[in-house]
Amino acid sequence: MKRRNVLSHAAFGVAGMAALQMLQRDAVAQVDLKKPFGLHHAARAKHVIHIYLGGGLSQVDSFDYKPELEKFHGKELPAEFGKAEPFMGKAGKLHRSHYAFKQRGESGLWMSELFPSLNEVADELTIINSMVAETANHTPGSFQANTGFRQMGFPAMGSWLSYGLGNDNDNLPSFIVLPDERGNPNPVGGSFSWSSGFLPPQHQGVPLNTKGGPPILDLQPASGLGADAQHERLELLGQLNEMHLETQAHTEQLAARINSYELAARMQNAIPEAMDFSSEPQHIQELYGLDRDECRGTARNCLAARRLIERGVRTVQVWTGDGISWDAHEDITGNGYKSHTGEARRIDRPVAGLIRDLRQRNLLDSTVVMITTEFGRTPYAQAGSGQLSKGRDHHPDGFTNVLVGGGLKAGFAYGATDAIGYSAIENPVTTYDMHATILHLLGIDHERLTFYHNGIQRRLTNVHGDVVKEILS
Amino acid sequence: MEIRTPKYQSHFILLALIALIISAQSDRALADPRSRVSFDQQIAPLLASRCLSCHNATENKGGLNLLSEASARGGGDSGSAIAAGKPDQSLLWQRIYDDEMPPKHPLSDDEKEVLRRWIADGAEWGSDPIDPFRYSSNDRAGYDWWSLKPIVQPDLPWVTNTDWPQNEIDRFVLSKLEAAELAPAKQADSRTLLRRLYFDLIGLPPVLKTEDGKWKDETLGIEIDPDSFQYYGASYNSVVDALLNSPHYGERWGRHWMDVIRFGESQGFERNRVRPNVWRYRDWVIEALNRDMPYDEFIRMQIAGDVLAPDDFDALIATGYLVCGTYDMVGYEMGSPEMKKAVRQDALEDMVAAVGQSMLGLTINCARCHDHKFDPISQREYYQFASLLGGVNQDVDERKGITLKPANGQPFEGAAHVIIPKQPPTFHVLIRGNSRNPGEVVSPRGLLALAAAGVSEDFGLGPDAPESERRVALAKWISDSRNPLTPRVMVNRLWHYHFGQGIVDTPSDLGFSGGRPSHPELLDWLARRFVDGGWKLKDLHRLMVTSATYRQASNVRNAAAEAKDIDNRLLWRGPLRRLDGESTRDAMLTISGALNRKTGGPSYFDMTSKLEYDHTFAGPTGEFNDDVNRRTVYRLWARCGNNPLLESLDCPDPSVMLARRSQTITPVQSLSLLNNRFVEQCAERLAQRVTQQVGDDIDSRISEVYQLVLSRDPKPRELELAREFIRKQSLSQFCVVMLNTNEFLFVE
Repeated sequence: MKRRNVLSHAAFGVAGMAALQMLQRDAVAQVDLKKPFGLHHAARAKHVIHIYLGGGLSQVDSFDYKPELEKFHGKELPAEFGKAEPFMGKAGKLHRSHYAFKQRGESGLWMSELFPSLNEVADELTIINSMVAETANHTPGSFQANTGFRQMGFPAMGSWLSYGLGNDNDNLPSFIVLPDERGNPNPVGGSFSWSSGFLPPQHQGVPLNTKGGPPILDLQPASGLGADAQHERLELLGQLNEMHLETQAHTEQLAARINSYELAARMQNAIPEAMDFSSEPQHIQELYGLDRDECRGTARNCLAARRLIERGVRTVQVWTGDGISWDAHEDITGNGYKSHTGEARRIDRPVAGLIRDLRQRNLLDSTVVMITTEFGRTPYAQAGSGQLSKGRDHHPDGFTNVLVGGGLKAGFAYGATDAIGYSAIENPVTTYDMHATILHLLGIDHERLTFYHNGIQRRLTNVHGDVVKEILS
Repeated sequence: MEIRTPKYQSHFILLALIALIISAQSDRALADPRSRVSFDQQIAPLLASRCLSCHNATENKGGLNLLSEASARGGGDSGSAIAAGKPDQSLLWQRIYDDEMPPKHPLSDDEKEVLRRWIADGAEWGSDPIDPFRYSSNDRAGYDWWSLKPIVQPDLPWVTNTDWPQNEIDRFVLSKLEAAELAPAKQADSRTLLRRLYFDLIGLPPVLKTEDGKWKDETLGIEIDPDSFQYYGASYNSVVDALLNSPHYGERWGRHWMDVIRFGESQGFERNRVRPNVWRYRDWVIEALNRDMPYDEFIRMQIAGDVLAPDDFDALIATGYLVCGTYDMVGYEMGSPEMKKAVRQDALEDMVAAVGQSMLGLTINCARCHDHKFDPISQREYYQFASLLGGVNQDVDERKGITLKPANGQPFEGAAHVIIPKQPPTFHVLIRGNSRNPGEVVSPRGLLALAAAGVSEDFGLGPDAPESERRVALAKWISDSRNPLTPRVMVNRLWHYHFGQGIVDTPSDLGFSGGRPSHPELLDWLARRFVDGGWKLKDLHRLMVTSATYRQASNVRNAAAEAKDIDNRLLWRGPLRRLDGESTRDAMLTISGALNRKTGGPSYFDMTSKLEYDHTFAGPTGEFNDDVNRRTVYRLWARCGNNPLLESLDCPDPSVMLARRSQTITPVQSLSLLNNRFVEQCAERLAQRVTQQVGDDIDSRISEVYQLVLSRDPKPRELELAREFIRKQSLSQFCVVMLNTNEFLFVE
């Protein structure tokens, strides 16, 4: 039997049995790192929480300290740093960081004042300052950051993890997506960023409704049928299906469908239970910032993310940015839409709260938190030639991603851009490398997690990618 | 060397003895020590298949490149590899003799001996350099790959059980079964066969009335005599013909084609604007299939209809094939000039992928950055092929102001989403696929891999050839009756949809990475018949579904077969399949009486959407009326606008070229089927319909529901359970349960 078949059957067979037993225990799955886990080698982490900053976070205003940029402020981009390739066609003068930098924590990592709460957990962070992307266009960029490919139709990293590792709790989907609550139904490029592509659809990211109302479509009957009546329906269906099963010679798929209704019934309880914060004490809610208007949406999503991975969900993705509102073309520091100051206020406390909470629950060692973006922003202003402005354009040649958690060197900065934060010159890290590294932490050799599709054994990392060993603890 | 020599000598003496004995009896060149070894016929194939995948110009392991005479004679890091006339002083021979090379898969004694003699005779080189694509190896396909060979009419195989076969298909299938000492399954019962035929050919369930001992499908005007239907002959065949002649046939099979070519009705990417006119191409596909347009013409129209039949509106619409893929509007309109070039290259790759996979079963797109790793397609050929499509743009715009007034046929004035050809720029090989790094100029050409089958890759076109000539050349080349891939790919697709798995189980890839044919002679026999019979698809359908192979029951046990062939590759039983998303939805509508059978026209849309800069899609609207209760093939297949119910039933993402769908079973799918508003509405309609038809009697209602949903009467226990449930709840909730049963959702 081919390996992928084993995996998909396991989702309904053995794992289904495990879920039954789990239901009788505590609803919270116990994370036991001593138990061997991992597909190809021992894993350092079991879960991923991916906080995605849609639109492009400016590296020189956040995590990439460039004192030289102060010196070059108001000057044209010197030729020694390369040619300006603005996406919107306008390359203004170089602009110093819009926020003051300081060394933070015992590790002394340089971080700006953009994320004051994150600064307090600096010693937990692994900052990669030498990211490079292949495009300066949001949609192909976010496809690549999430699926490894610039084109549409490839499986997201969370789908690959689901395919490779399954789930620790069959009452919940293995890959859950929590969109920004501000209205836009999809982030840029839409659901493709969490599509299972050509992998079987059970590995699809399941987006939960984060705007209020039922968390997931079709969780309850549209007609409002009560619980007892639903139970009767399932009972009849079970009886009819069992009678049919007795007449059948090849029962594997048929039995799996019978089982899937039992799982579905449990999912009906498990999803609302995971999304119900009433059992969370006030100090925890405040730790995430649920009490604050400016960040309540992200706070809810970050707290939900912790509760979901606690219950065994493999990957949770938290989308921040209303579509692409990290895309600060006009005013990094403004108060309006698409300003870094405004966006940072929405995520700073929740993300820092999440990291602290995972730490105090001993979950940080078994979880990788990724804070990533599709590309960075230009160190020069987006303005006419010879001019300055407070905006910055898209920039793929050097930017910052942050990782936190299991198996990583904490309080550690890796790679470097040139003196003005324009191009990665020391240890450049590609999206392929990033994905290879995350898979490695989860016990997967990125070259061996493959799925045949139209002529190729496809993988998340295409034909590229090296594990960034230097950031592993 | 001290250790090696004695072993070598004894080995050689033994071989020489054997060789002498053989040469005394035969004149085989391989073992005849007196004949000279031919480099081109014996050594080059050996090197190409066993050595060159590591020792070539780009991947010269150990510094050794055996591709050309000069580099081979130059040797590697350890020094000279070949000492002419002296095998035991040749590193090449020593490594091979010791089974160090090729790693893990040493040469056979015969192969070794040929190589040794070649060196001993003076290691004379032949054609230079060796063409690594010429021969297949353990690692890759060459020009001699099975699917590239000409299609020869195979002889019908001999079978023992001469009673079973109904047509040629059965002879091929049975001979394999008999060789494996297996017997085919009994025939499925009439009800099962009818359901299978309906879903396979038209994607709808049979809804029949029994009158005067006959089954009647009033909507399609089909009358079936249950007694004679189970036999081979007129009764069964007339049902097959009626279904093939129904307009629903094209709706069913058109959707399969749309899967393969990643048909979508919005651009995708950031803007994702809906293209309001792509439905005309969808209708063209459905119509072409319903009319049984010869498949070679079907291909030519889609690639170059606008050039080949300039007055014909239908031919113009057919080119929608080329422009229904994704379009990165932001990438094309903004960004640096370099970025625009890169976006264009990505789009070309997508088009090459779509044409190559859908029509040729080849992943030509894999050769964009380097020579194809597995199939005999060079990187240069990729760009030659891409330049054939270089005038095609997946524009946002419709072609406006079309005015066609043909002498025969329909006049048309207006807009359509069809090709707007542009003269392409000069194409270069792009080194490592990078648009910043152009290499040599290329001309539009086909693939050398098909030349051996008699289809020339040379179209006589230069680098600046007119756009229209490129597509015409491509269309003719693909649809050439000698092209071995085109018919093999298409008959295999049909087989895949009828039998649940293809003769090759990767229908869009007949290359090295794809599957191997389970019944190669059958595939070729069908392909030959297809081409010789004028490329008629309906003829193939008829042949397949009237075979004894097709009519086998799926619900059978066969311990011997399960032990030998659990995957049913040898076809010892029929398949058991879950209904696909479209069939599930269409069947629910049909059964409830809510289906609007209107064919063609603008797509219905069941999702809420918003257009600002971008088109964005939110959840389903929940509407249930004639506008949306059409067959699912008429849904607006916008990218990112997937319907969650259909998605949970494995309807594909419209950006993925999908040759075979998954049949997953998930809790999310079960929740959708139980709780979705659409299912509830169908159930309510069904309850109303049944009440109108049979009145108040509860048992009659239950029986009627069983007839409509499962085409049978309830068993006593089922009747009992249903009565009890309806007393507690309602007829419509009972209908929800029935629409969730395995018996409804699977086709035997």
